Amino acid sequence: MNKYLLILFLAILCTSGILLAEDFKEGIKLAEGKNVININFGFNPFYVEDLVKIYPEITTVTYNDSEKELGYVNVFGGIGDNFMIYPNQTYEITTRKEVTLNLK
Amino acid sequence: MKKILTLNLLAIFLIMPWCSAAHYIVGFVENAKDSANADGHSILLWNPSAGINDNLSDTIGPLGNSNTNNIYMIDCELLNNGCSVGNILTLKILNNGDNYVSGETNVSVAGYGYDIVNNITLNSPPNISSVEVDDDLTIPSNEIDLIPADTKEVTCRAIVTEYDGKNTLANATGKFFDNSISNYSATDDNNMHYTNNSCYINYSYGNINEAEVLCKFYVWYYANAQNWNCTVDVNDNLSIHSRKGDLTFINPLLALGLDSVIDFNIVSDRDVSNESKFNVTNYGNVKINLSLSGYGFKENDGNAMNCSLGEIKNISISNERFNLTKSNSGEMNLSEFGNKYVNLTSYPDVKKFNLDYRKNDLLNDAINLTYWRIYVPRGVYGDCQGNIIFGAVQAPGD
Repeated sequence: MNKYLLILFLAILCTSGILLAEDFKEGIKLAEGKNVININFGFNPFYVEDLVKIYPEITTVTYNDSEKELGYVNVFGGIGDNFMIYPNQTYEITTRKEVTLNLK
Repeated sequence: MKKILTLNLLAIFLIMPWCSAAHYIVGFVENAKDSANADGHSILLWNPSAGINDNLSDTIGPLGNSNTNNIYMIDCELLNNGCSVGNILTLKILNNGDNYVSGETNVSVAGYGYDIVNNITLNSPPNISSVEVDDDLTIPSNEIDLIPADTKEVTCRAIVTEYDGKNTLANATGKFFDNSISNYSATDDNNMHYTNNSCYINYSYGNINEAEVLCKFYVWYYANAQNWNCTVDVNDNLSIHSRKGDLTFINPLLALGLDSVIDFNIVSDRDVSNESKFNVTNYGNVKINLSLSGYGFKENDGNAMNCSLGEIKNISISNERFNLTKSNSGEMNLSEFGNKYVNLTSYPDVKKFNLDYRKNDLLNDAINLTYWRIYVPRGVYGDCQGNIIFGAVQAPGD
């Protein structure tokens, strides 16, 4: 029982702010600060720059695969890698205030 | 239930890398005031409390993480020790060999995924626009005339342009060296290399970006007669330096120093005097031979000395003789005197002496002895006085 509690604690600790978005098809709610999201419903891929234009509250978006990190920062008109956002990939999104993403 | 836990564990492992999130340090680098572009230069980030060995770098501009002119972007979480809110991080632009750098700038790590660093300006290296070297005689130009047995003041004058403001010039040094056998990095030697580590920077000169640098050298009489190079090196407050040189020529200097009197003491008539030794010093910067002549009362009178008493009152020039290489001690008859010594002449006669110029800074090694005797003919008495004219002639092969 203790083992399960420990696993549960770690899961909460490390996935705080992680949203498995299948439960939020009508909108992905991002809290102020850092969020890690994995959007596992289908949508048309789009550029991170376009996401930030629609949601200027987003300050950074980061994608990290095993080889390299791609980052985009919403400052100086947008700097960094203008990478594609795909379904079923994990992204870190930082926002300066709470925002709800509505993806199609 | 077991299946759900397994899935949860899988999710944790998949998402574990995200436990250390990204945090970007971004900033704008202004081009140097001399118009050099900041793009392409490398900027280094580190946490001073962890040490500079744990660092990250980015290329400013489109070739770097930001993909944007004059901007850099570094994820400080990629430091080995990561970064967290409240950390003070330091950045500086590295010297890629073109001498464009920056001072260090700090930024405090805060929230919302990134922090903007105060603008950094690419530092312009000081630029030496001209260097001139000469002595106090500017005509003819590019020639230096040394002073026998003394030093000569030589000045290198450089004009420096510093676009970050003349007051950022920190110090200037100068080297003056024989361009044929020495070099900028050689050690000091009065024959061939001089250093001035504290040249004067005249901040009153010119406009707000200009300064005058004056490097003085006190050059000894035995400095090589060669082409010389004066190189001025100027440092700014970021230890970035510029260096430029100018050539001049040190003229040959023929000069010698002598004891004041050759004293033969008391000599009876029809006797050869004892040998008197007489020092000749090379006070120039070339190897010398000697030009010798003598007279009694006036030049070309055919005498070595005029005397106060006796029937003749003159000692003929041929009775005063010298040896420039070897001493012959003891008493000597007239025949030996004739064989071992060369007679003085009324006209200048050049004799091989090969006295090299001074090469030792600590003691004067450019001194040679000469050896003299005189024969007093019958009927000459009293006090005798004469004159010997020593001249320096450049020895062949020097």
